[in-house]
Amino acid sequence: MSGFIESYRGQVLMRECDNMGHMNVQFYIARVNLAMYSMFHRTGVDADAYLQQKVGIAAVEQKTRFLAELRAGDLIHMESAVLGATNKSMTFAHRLYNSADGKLAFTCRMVAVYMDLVTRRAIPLTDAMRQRIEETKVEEEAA
Amino acid sequence: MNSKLISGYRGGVEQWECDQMNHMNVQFYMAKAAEAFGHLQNALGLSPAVLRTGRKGLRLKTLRTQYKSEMHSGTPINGLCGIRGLDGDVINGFIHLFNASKDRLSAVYEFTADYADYDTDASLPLPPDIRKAAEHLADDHPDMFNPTPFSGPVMQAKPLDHLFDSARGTVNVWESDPFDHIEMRNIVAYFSNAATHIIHNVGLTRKIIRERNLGSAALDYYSEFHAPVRKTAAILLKSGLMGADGKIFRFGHQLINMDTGEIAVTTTVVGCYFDMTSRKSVALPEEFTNYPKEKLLNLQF
Repeated sequence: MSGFIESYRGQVLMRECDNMGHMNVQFYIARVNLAMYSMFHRTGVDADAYLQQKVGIAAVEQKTRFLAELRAGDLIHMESAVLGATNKSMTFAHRLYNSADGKLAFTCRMVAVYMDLVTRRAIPLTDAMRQRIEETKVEEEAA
Repeated sequence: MNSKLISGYRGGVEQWECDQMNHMNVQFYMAKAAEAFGHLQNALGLSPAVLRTGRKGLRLKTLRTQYKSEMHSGTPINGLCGIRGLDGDVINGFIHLFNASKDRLSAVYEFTADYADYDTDASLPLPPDIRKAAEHLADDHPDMFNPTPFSGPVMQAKPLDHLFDSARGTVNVWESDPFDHIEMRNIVAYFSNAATHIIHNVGLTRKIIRERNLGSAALDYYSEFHAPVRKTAAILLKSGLMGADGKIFRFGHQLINMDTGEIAVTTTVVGCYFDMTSRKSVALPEEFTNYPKEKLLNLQF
């Protein structure tokens, strides 16, 4: 299966809203973090990998756009896709929607490196990861 | 997927949601289920905008929770919900949380909910459009796990002897929803916080528990919601042992709104102890089984 998949679904909480009456920027990024659990799984880096193989992923670059306000109680969902990979990094696209009206509220393009959790150094992606990324990635223009 | 199932939650287990048992704490299961409940309301026509404008919507009356399998840090989660049916003005529904990487059911919430005014807390008849939407979505969902009814004694909302104080606090602003009610997650957090006090009450300490390499896990909750708990209310949780036999203990909680003196929530908890290494259940510590029988709450029911 290729393309965007649903990677997060939930709700804006009252305590996530600031004195502007909308969700504070830090909680948009928190949703990207939650969405990445699905994307880790999609690229073959899941909880077993952290625990047993001592490998993981670290974000190194994010480009975000805040397109619409989200208020306490709003229902939200995120769709994500992998855009491609280099020797040691992967690029992801995330789109956060207001679930009630379908309006796009936030986008994020994120580059993350594959890393050894013991040496804390970036390491090359495995062949299996490359294959999964190749099978599921979307073109940059589509993102 | 059955077209009457509603996608309610997707995310994962954060490291900071895991407790000393190395698994996601019960309050964070509830947090995710509560978000799914919002999507279920939306599917019935109770969108966030409708709720904000009308300040009326669904309110839990009872909640049955079964924890089927542990979830650990980093696990992706998928949540589905649905309506099983209507009983007069009460909606019966469920929320299931799955370990998405193993497609394994992790927690089951079966609830009843009425339609209420969020300001006055009055129970209201279901509006015709909401009833129609609920009837349209109602389904037996035979493919979705449906637990047998909660069995055994249930905690009662009346003064009881042998209860002890197990948690105390205040409903902070950041623990409240947009309608100034305590978020469900924070009610369950009181039950979680009570666990260590329960251990002490039967004569155990954390040190003993660690030396025996034991952990405890909730298996089954049944809660009844009797009165609202609003922002800034003073809260007292009182608890007592209802029974302990073999591998299973049963505790009762009364969450009391100290501002009004009302017993706002009663909950029965069925749980077990497990070996922290094998993650398998073990016989209850003798401190539980030796607990004075005359103090068991069941005798007062």
